[in-house]
Amino acid sequence: MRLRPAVTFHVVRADGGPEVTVPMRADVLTCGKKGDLALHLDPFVASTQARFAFADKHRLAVEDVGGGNGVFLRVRREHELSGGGELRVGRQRLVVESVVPSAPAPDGTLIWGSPDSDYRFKLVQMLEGGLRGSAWLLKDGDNYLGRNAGEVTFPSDAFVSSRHACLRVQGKRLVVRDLGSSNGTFVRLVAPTLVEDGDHFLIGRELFRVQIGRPA
Amino acid sequence: MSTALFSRLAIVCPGCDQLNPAGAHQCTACGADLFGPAEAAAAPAQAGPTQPISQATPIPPGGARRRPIPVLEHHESSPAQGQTPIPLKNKIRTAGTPFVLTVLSGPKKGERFRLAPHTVIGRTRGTLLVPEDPFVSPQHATLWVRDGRLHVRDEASASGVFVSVATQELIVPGGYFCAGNRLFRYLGALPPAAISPAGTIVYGAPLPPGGTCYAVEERLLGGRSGAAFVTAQPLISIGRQECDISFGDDKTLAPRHCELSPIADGAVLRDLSEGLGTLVRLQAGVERQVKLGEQIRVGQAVMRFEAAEAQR
Repeated sequence: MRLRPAVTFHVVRADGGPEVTVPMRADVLTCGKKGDLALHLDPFVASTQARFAFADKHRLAVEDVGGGNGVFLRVRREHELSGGGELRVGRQRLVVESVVPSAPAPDGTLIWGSPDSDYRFKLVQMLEGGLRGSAWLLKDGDNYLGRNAGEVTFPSDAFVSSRHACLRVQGKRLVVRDLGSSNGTFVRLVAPTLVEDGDHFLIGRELFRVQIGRPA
Repeated sequence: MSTALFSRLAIVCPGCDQLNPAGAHQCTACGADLFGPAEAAAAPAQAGPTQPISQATPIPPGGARRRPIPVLEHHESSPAQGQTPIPLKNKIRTAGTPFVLTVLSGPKKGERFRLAPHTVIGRTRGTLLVPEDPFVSPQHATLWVRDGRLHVRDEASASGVFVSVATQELIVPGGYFCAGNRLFRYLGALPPAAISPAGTIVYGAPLPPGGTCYAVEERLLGGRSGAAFVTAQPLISIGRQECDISFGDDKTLAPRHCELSPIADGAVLRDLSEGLGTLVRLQAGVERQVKLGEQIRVGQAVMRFEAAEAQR
C-alpha cells in the first residue's frame, strides 16, 4: 500500500516576514475564516473557502467550496481561459467576458457604434465591493498586460510587473501566459484540480504555497 | 391656371412638401401661406410632430405648385432617384435654401445636397434616402432651414442623430458622444460600493481613497459595450496619442481629440479636434440648432452644414 505524502502549507506574508507553516494532519484540510488553515483576519475570505483532500490516497486535489471571491492558482506555464473565467494580477481581479456578435433589429436597422474588429473577448476589472471598473477589448493575437507597457495597463498598481502577462487570442481560444512577473498571474479554479508540489494559491489577500513531500 | 382649377386640386406646400387638401390656403404641416410670397416657404415650421413625407409625393396634374420645387437637389455625379443632377452654377433659385450638406464620411462621402426648407432623412422613408446605410432607421431625422440656420430633430432613431460640440457642452450621465469614427457613452459617477454588514466583501482592485470614480465606455456597433475607462481623475482625455483612452491607429481622431471633466450632474465635453469634430447625441424629439460649418451625423454619414455660395 502506498503511503500518502506529507503535505505542508506555507502562508507567505506580504511584508516578507517569516512564513506560517501548517502541516496537513488529516485526509482533508479546509481553508477559510473558520478553516483548519485559519484566515480569520481577511474580509475577502468565506468561512470555508477551499478544501484540500486526497483524491485517491496519494494525489492531493483542491476545490473551491466558498464561491464568492474564489480560489486562485498561480499559472506555471500557460492556462486556457473562457468566458466567465477570472484572473488575478497584482491587486487586480479581472473577469473574462465573451463579446457577442452584433445583430440588426427586426426592421433591418443596426445601431451605429465604433468599428468592431471581430472581438471575441473582453477583460473587465472588478473593483472592491463588486463594481465594474475599466474594461479592455482583446484583439486577435497577443495582448500584453503590465503596469505601464502593453495593451492592458495598471499604472497605479505597484504589485503588477512592468511586463506581467500575455493574453493570446487565437480564434475562439484565449490563453494566458505569465511573463516572469514578480508576483505571479493567478487563474480562478472552476473545478476540482490536482495540486502539484510548489503550487501557489491566492485566497482573498492570503497567498500560500503547498509543499508535497515524501511520505512521512 | 384658373382659380376654378386650383380649388379642385390638392396643393403641395412649396415650403415643406406637405400634400394639402384642395382649397387649402395655409399648409397643414408648416402653416405657410400656400399662395403667398416665396418667403412664406421659409416660414417657421411648427415645433410639433411632422408627418412623414414620402418621396413619391404626387405633384398634381397641371402643377398646383407655382414653380417646380425640387425638394432636395443633388448636384454631384450620382443623382437621387428619378432626379437629374443640376450643376450648382446653372441652378435656378427655387424654394430650395441657399444651404448645402456636404457628406464627409459614409457611403455618400464627397456628395453634396442642397437643403430644402424641410428634409426628412431615412433608409426607406423621407426625402433624402440612404438605403445603403444599415445604421439609418427607416425614418431617422428631420431637418429644417429657418432664419439661415439648420434645425435638426431625431425621430426616435435607433442610432441617434449627433451634432457638433461648438467648444464645450454639458452631457448627462448616460449621454452618448462621438469622436471621429468612434462612439462613447459617459456613464457618470460610479455608485458607492455595497458594504456587506457581516459577510465577506467582494474582492477587487482598491478604489482610490476618498475620490468618486467616473466611467466612460466605448460603444461598439450593434449597441454593445466595448472598452471602458474608470478614473477618479478630474479630466478624461480621448485621442490618438498619450490620452487616457488612446486609439493609436485611428486616423479619424486627433492626437488629443476631446476631454471630459466630470461635474456634479454630468460632465463637460470639450472638443479639441480642430475640425475633425466631436459630436453629441440629441435626445429624441428635441430640436437643435446647427450653425454654419457645424456637423451632423446620421448613421455612417457625417455631414457639414454649409452655404452654397461658399462652394463656388
